[in-house]
Amino acid sequence: MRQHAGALNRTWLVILGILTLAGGVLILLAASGTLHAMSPAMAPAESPVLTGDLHTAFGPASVTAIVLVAGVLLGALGLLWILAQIPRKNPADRYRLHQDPASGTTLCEASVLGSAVENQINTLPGVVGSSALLRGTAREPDLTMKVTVNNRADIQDILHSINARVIPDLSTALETPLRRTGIQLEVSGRNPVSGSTVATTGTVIY
Amino acid sequence: MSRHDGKATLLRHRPSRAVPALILGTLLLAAGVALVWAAVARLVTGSWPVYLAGPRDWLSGLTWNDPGVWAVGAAAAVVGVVLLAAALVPGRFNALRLQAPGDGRQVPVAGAQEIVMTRRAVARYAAAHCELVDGVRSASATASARAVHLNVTTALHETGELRGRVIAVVRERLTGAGLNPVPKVTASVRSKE
Repeated sequence: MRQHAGALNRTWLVILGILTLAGGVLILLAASGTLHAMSPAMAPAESPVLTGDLHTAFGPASVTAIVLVAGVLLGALGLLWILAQIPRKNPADRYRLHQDPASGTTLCEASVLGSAVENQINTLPGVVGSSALLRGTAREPDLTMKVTVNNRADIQDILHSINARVIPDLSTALETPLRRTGIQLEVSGRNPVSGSTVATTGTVIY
Repeated sequence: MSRHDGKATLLRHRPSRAVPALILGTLLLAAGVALVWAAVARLVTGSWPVYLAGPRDWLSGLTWNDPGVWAVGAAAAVVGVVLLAAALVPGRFNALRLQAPGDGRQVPVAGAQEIVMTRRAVARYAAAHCELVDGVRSASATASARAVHLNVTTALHETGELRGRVIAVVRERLTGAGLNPVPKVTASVRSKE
């Protein structure tokens, strides 16, 4: 249900991986002298890494400003990347159901529709609990549901009820077909809200 | 702004690589804080902090063929390969696909539909149905994207027949649940007095 920063993470890991690998290989080539053999303009392996004096290079006030800005940028990027790891629901905003604003506006909280879907799913036999989330727009709604079912429930029966009753009801309420629906099933040992099975025990006496 | 602009994403996905991302994010943040600290110290006291003197002296006397440079280069290359592997090795799916009930037709009032069951849910479902088989004392299960493995304990001495029965029952239940493709079911049965 919640969305993760998978694409962002992969992209930045590839970029940083290529940069670090290229840097490491360049350092190794320079250290072995291969870089100098390939191009005489490059420093030989016996030469010092730093040609200038660090003390004078870091003397001017402008260098301090550059270090400060670089630090702020690096820190901000790191913090944003860390914050991006928090899984987010990204629900829809209010749906605007009106056609012509001049004759009045009709707004509907997507969470209200989600609650209605949850209540309807919870009445199905074998369902322990559910959560529903609407994304997209009123014209192109996306419905994502997480349905927790009892471990002895008939899963296909529950799915059939959702497809035959719950989704058409939401579609009727919004007066548009749903663009996309997703159902994530979880299984629990807890008793379902309705239609629960009763465990009985007995002793056979010979 | 939301990450996906309020659009639905696939429920069945591969790992999001949160751990390497968190480690790198923390390192970037630490480097940023260290740089800001050094710059502020320079602005306040007029000189760079003392902790930078060590690295500065080390760098000043360094030649390219120094063992330290070799070590830094090798470490950077290894870290680069690890980062690329973390990004490119696909990882396992978090869930298994289910087919829609009925004859596979789409719901008339909905477009694309994705139905998934998480690996944990498949394992719980398989273990619960395994425990309903006569002769099973207790059962637990683990599920991957393609296989379900059952660990069964029984009071029976002969476990071969029970293993076959348990696998058949669980496979039938997973097929009945609509898993598509149906994962391969294996079982280890342990006899326990």
